[in-house]
Amino acid sequence: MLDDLRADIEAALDDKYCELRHTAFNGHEVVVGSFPIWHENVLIDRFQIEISLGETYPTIPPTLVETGNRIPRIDERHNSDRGACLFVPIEWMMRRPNLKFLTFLDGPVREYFLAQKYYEQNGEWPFSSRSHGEAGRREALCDLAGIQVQNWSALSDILEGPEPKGHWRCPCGNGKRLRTCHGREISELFRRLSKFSSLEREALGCPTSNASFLSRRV
Amino acid sequence: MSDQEYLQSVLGDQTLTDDSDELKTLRTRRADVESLLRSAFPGKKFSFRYGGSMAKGTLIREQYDLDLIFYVHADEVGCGDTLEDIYNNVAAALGSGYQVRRKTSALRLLGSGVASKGQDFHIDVVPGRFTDGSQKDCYLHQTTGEKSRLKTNLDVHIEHVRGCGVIDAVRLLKLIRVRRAIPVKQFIWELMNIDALNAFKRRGLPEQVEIALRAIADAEVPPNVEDPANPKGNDLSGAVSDAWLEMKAATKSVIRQVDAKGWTAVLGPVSERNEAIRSAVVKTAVAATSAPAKAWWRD
Repeated sequence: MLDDLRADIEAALDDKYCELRHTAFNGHEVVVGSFPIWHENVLIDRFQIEISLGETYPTIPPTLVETGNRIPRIDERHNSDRGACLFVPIEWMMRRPNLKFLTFLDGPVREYFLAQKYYEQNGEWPFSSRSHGEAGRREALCDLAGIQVQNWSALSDILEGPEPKGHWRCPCGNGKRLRTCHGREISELFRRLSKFSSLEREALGCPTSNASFLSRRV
Repeated sequence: MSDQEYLQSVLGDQTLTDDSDELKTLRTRRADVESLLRSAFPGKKFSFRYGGSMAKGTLIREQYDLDLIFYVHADEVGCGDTLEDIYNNVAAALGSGYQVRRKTSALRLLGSGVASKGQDFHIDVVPGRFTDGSQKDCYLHQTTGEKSRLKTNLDVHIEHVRGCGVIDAVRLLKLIRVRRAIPVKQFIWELMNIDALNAFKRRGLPEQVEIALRAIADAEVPPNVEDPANPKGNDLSGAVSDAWLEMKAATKSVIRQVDAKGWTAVLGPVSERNEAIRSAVVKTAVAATSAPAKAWWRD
């Protein structure tokens, strides 16, 4: 598995990002170097980066740090002392099933630095973003389930319990049963989440499964 | 375009002119830092000197630094009794206006304001004390390593680089080190490169850069690198050996890429410098991005 991971990283770097370098640090795979931002054969800029792929990658997405210190560590720039604020981890994991390293570079990493360039020039973040902290996590999960965030509590109850049944009330609050409402999205979310361990779900910021939860609303 | 012309164009792109925004900002910040230190140590005897890539002529756009040397005169104790006191007092004074990152002997200045928190200002303040009244050699405090004191000479370092005869190659090799994030101090990387190119000053740029890279990639053991300002007293072998495996791996990788795909694969094209064009391309790129990830501030 480690060989597959390394091969995936090397393929991504050989393909498009030859100014990045693959190395290891404290037993983790790390990619460092200069990340170019291209659009239509125009090289817009480069940023110095470090990407860490932890032991639990790809379950837990990589972390990205802009090591050139060009970007202030402030929330308007979605950049903190712990690195770039790319996405709610579970949201990216659910929406991007192809977990190739190249997908990560071409997607969230490129988008993040492109947005930084836009911010430098125009003073505002060009893409929509999540609320800070726990609120953002809830928004992401509710979006994945297709329901409004004000119904988070009901969704959380379902995700923490046993496998949802079609006759249960949909947490969106319109009174319908799951099977005729958001059952497909919620079942898929539940199924994907159930593949993570409790620790992984905690790291991804998801409700952890609760084996002792017995009562279900009908 | 030949490899020589291409590498010259890369160097040209990396050159910051005196009227560039980057250097103007650097000069303004330098004046601010000097003013701050003069206020912190009124009436005391010290000198400001300038080192780093600006003084050595190795400045590149992607990593430019000003070393602002703050040398207390040999007979002055008002800035601190010991070298460590001087280092700490200077750090405290700078802390009133900047976020200060403590390095082995220098103090890196970062932004501390609301809009600039953690932003690199490209200035290292290096506190020290002249060894005697001649004001040539000086002592620096070291926060790490076996010795707490380092003896050095700024003029020797500057002249060693300025007079090496291979400045263009040194700058390109610096760019490679920065782009590949090779974890070795620039000071040591420069010394290794200059040593490797000592007999090849008349060769073309592509050849010089490759010679310097191969001197590391093909070496069985780390080379002996001497500090020209203090060859007997300043042992650089530890710093070289710490980064040796990474240096070898990185230089081998670069050479492989040059052999397989040429220099453009290593250093790429130059960035678009016209701000109007760049701004327009950024807007187009943003508009063309479908379903971007939603940024999330986790704290």
